[in-house]
Amino acid sequence: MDKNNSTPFLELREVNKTFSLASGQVTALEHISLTIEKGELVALVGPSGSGKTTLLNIIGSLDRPSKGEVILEGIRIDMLSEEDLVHFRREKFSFIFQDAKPLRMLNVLENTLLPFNFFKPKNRNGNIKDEGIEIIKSLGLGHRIYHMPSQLSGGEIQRVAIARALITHPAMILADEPTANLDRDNRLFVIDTFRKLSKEKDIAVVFSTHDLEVANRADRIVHLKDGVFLKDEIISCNPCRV
Amino acid sequence: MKILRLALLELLRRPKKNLVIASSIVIAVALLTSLSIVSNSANLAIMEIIAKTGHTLTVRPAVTSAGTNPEEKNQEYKLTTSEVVLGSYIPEAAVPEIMKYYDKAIKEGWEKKGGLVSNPGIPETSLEPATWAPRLFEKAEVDGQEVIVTGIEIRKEYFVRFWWNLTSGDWPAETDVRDVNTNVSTLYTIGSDGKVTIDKTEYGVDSSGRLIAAQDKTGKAAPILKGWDDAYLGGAYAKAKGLKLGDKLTINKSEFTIRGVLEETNSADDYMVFIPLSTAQKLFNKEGQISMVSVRAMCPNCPVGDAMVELNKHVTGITAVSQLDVAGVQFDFFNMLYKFLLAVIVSTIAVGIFSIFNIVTGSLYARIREIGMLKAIGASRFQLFRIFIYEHFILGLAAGICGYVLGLGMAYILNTLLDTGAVIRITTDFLWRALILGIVCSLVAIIYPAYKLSKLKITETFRTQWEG
Repeated sequence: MDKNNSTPFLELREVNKTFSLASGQVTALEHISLTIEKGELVALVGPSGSGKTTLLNIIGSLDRPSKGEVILEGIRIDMLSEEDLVHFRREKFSFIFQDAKPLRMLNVLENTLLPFNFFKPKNRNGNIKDEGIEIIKSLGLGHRIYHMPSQLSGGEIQRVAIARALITHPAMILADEPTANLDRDNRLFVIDTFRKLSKEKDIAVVFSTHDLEVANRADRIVHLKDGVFLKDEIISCNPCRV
Repeated sequence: MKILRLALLELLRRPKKNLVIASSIVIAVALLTSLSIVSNSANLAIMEIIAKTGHTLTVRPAVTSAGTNPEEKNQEYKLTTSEVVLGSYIPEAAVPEIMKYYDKAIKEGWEKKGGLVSNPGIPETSLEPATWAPRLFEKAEVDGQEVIVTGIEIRKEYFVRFWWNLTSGDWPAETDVRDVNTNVSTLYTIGSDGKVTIDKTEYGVDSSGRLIAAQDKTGKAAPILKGWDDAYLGGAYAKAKGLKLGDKLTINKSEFTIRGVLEETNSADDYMVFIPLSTAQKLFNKEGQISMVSVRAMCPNCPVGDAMVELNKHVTGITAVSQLDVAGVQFDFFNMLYKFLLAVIVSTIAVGIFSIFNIVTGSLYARIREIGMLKAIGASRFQLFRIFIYEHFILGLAAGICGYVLGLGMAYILNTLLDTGAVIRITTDFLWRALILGIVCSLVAIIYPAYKLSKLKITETFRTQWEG
């Protein structure tokens, strides 16, 4: 957390989100206000339909709120044009999805470097390929660098997604149910990796989960129900409850 | 370059599906390419005939007098085309009458067109006498095989068929024209002393108007028969038989010497053996008979059609045919056939593109999450659109190349099946057209779904997945 800076890294003010369906208007989020600081590991917890994914989408600028403001480093990102958002997302966010399928025709290293097929890396001194290899090794995939996705296990595939998320040096990682399809060892590995990244690289990590064991390894747990903010729980002695 | 590589890898990832799409395009391109090549070749061949024989009239016997045997009649019919007439004859004595009507019709038609008076663009001097060349066609045994042997007056023939060229040998010199049946007054000016001078040599003319040796010491002038055993071969026949200049040839047991080989002209001439008309008449026992006369009008825009009408009206036992009309009918036939086949193929392509569109749409929507992921990691809408376009550009290009190659093969088969008689001519235009068609077919099928998908919001692509 950046205690010295009065402006939060990310701030949501009175965010509402409604969807127009054939059956009528559906409210997905209501009066959500939230701040997230750099280096924080935040878990979004709640039952299905509670609005976790919608909130992640709005935080990551993948969707716009119907009402309210989303401010990242002082910039109203909900007001940016689609074109500006593309550039903004490239610089600030990385996304990890539940079904994080890498491209089948690319090997692990190529999948890690995939974002740079679409834009150039900024402010890099070293070789981008070497950095990719380092990240892959740090995630325990050193023996899989040139393997194809079809040769990987589910846990390894999720690590490739993390490597791809890290290569762009994001300010924030957003992960939707990143541990949903993994066994316990891999679940804990993923969350511990997030924790390590948030602390060592000062990256804000927000993830959604149903799994309380996983959620309890976060710095904060934000509880949602029916699109309404229930509770913001700070875990002071993490991972003391695990 | 990186996006192009991604597109290529993506293309290789689904070989079976892409093969199905490519096959449809290959077939479409091959069909259109083969049809275009055959149609173009046939039209070019016809155009060449029109250019060569546009002012040529063919006078043939009106009714075939083939044998009574049905098989023989059928065979004769097959061989009787506008170029070859078998089994029917015109008396050689009828030629002056034919020429009289022809000249009269041309002159009157010419005047009617204003060639002499009202059309200053056609000078009076351009009206020159027509030139005519008789032919006698007979099937004969040549070196043990049945071939059409054509009796011709070689220099006249050469003059009418001015597109004839020799690949080897020489045309007979003026003095070698020893056609005993030709009235020399139609060829040379007879002096007041009754003699003709050709290349400083004096010749006499007998009472029938035939050229005779003026220096005959016996005082009994005899027709000059030198050159009676000359033979000229059609280019394709010489090539097929491996015959060359100076070789001997046996026609119905008489020996001939090859004096020249003709360049191929894409006509029936290519497969014929030519010998002097008088020799042929004697050899085939058809003295005083010919199979047809070709008449070449010697003025530009000559009213050959008028002459054709006049001849058919006034001279019995003959049919006059304008080669321009014959070629025109062929041209119209091939154009009609081309348009019909084109309509069938275009309809097939339209159905094919619709099928490709469905396959492509299904295939793209199966990649919807991947598209969302690519957008989320930084791909812009335009970059995604480019990936789809590159994929289908490459697919269309490859299909275009394959379709072109297949189309070439099909063109040869189609040309044989349609019996156009044309030589297949291939230009780079066909390759470009095939490539463009392949690419366009492929892109037409992809553009709309690609546009729609690249426009989707990331959240929409993940809606089925991110249902929190």
